[in-house]
Amino acid sequence: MEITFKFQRGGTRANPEYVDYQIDVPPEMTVFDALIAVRETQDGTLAFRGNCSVGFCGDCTLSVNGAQKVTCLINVGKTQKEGVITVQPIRYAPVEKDVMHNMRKFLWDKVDTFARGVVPNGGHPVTDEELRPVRKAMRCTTCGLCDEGCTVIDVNLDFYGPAALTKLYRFAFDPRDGITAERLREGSEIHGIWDCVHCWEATEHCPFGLEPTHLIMDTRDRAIAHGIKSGYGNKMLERHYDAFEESISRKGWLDERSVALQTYGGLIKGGLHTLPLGIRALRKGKATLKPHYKRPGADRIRKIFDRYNRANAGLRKEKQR
Amino acid sequence: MHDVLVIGGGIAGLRAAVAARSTGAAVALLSQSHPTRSYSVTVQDGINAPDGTEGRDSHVSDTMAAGAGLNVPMVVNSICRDAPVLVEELDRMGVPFNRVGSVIDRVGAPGSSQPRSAYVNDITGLTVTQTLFEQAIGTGVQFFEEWIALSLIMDRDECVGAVALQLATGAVEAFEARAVVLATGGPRRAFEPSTASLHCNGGGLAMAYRAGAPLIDMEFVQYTPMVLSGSRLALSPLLLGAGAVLEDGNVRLNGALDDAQLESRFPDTLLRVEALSGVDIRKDPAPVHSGMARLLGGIDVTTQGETSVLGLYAAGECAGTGFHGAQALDGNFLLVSIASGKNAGLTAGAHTRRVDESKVGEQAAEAARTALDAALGRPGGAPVAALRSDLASLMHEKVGQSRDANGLKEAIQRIQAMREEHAQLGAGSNTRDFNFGLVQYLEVGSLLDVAETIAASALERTESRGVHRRTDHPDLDTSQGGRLQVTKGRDGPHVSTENA
Repeated sequence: MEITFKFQRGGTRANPEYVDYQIDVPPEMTVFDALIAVRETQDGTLAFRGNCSVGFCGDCTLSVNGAQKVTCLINVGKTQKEGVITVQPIRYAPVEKDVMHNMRKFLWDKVDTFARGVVPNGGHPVTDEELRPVRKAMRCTTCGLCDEGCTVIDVNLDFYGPAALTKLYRFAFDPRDGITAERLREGSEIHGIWDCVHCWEATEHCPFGLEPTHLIMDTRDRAIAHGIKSGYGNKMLERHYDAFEESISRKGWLDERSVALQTYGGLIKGGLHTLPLGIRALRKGKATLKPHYKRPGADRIRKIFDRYNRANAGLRKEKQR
Repeated sequence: MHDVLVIGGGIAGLRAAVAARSTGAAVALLSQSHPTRSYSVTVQDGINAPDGTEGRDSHVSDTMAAGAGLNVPMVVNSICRDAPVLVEELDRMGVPFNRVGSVIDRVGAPGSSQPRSAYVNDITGLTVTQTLFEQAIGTGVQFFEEWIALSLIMDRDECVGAVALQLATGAVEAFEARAVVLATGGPRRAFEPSTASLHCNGGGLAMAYRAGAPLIDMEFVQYTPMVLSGSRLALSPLLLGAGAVLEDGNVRLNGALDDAQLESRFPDTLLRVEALSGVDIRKDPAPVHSGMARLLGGIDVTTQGETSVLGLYAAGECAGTGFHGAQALDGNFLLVSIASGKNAGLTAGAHTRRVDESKVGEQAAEAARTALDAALGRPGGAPVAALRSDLASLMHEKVGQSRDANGLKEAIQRIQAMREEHAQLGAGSNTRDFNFGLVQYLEVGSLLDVAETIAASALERTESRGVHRRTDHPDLDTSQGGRLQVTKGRDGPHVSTENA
């Protein structure tokens, strides 16, 4: 099958400069093998990565015909459109040359932050059941497609991203590890688990079905069980979430005024900070000076909080252990 | 100056780095890709590590039976004795081994008289590599990724480091070290079909051979019958252990595993077979063929991983440990990588040889720069790729599963001719950064050297033993019970029987 690879070799993603390479390959050949054949026989300076060719090393991730793929797991016949396969870098990843991503910056520095090995806790014998989450997370090949789909990385390349947070999950759920709380505190700092906006794109993008967004949500639960809440390391955020929880659990709905005051440091400090905004809001009729009452049924909402706290008492004990 | 320089980021190299670090040595690890991108991650075998004396005895006897008299008994005994401890260590480090209750499960593999393979579903290689990498990160191993080792730095007869090329920049630097551990894997790319990753080019074997270290057992090249058609994926032998059967070039499940069991035990097999061949193994048999899977020989090493060159150690597939003998048992492959990696790392780390700062490193780097500059100016690309592909077909046809004197002689002659052709070729472009044409040229050079030692050893062994099958000498000859060593002579490989 005659294929034209339009290979991006310069320009930007929006304004790419392509070089065309023609090659005759069987339609069942993988896109990665076909690209290697082009590089080996036509142009040794074509820069892209890849090694194992059987979907385990996660190194050959590229954008092909606009879709982001592990290129050794798709074939030429199904990928080509009218004999053409356009090859570009994946979104968001900085590029070193051609479609050679700067994976250190895009992925590795972040993954390595959470990759520090198990520190044995010398604890109880571990069951198969307990290790299943670890086994699932370790199926990850670090292909980077979850980060490529991430809507937070889209606006903030410093967000650790689902791939690195999958590594955090792998340790947070390993019953043999002795520094779980320390890891969760690290993961709860800025750009960590609490910066995920749960858009579920990571779960959509993972070619191996590992559901990275779910793993981040589970890691958050783990963090909460260890007494680590969103905004860890950021006093203002911590106050914000505490105030939010307090408002809902006491009054059954959001008392925006008190949340704002508490977030910014209480009545005096918060009052001074929010005063100009408050005055503008009052003038436009967006705020009122009337007291904020408990909503009807607030007691039933309170019970939901009580039930949650009882259910998680076990996990909270784990934190103390 | 590094205390220990490990070359190769797969399981053996990472295990060596972690072990060397545990001795307090400052360890640098140089690898062609990020370590978790190594060939090791594709290996789906288990790790043979039976518990208890009875289990150990049968592990030793099965290994010796497969090895057909060429195993080194001391090495087999030592590694089989250590095996359960090695697995327990990996478990403590974080490998999520499958368990029955809280006991690490052991399953059967083809050729094993008892179930003895510890495993992690169908991702043992992936999880062991990740875990060792995590340990290396945690213990402060210094990583040099996407560097390609070119040659060893020799000070008279001693190894004092290696010269390497940085892929991103084309820079050539000397990495001086008190000890060098080679863990660069096997030369799969010299054979087609095979299970080769792109980086399986036998670079470490070639470097050691050129530096004067003897290679051993090079005639033993093992094929697997389980390569998925149209791919380089070797299906897990644990599928057979779980009741699947291999017949008429197909792997059939035969109802041995229901869908739920398959999805929980072999999720990555299911996914990859479907992606690579379009077959849903829950419904249809997976077509397979045989392909070169591993080299059983390598750089001649002691149990502790020492080569005959002072300061140079080797581990994993590039090391000829003598454990496998003439044929390897499924499940012993990862075991040897882990055991030899640990041993070589510990020995290298404890190696307190004093190495003075000298000019030899910079001289070696300068020589390499000159050679590469020349290669950058010569034509390359397609003719180099053709050499590699011709070599791989030649090796499969004449030096593969069935061999004879005429074919082997022809292979040696053609390899020599190819080497002359190779010497006229080069990178095909004078680009410095990310010059894959240059990398290909260097790799084919390594493959040619290693291929020649394989063919020369196979010619010398005039009998059939283990995976070495000579159609002109179909029987085992008890008088050839010695191991064959290959050293680099002035006019090519020199093969001799090792002094027992």
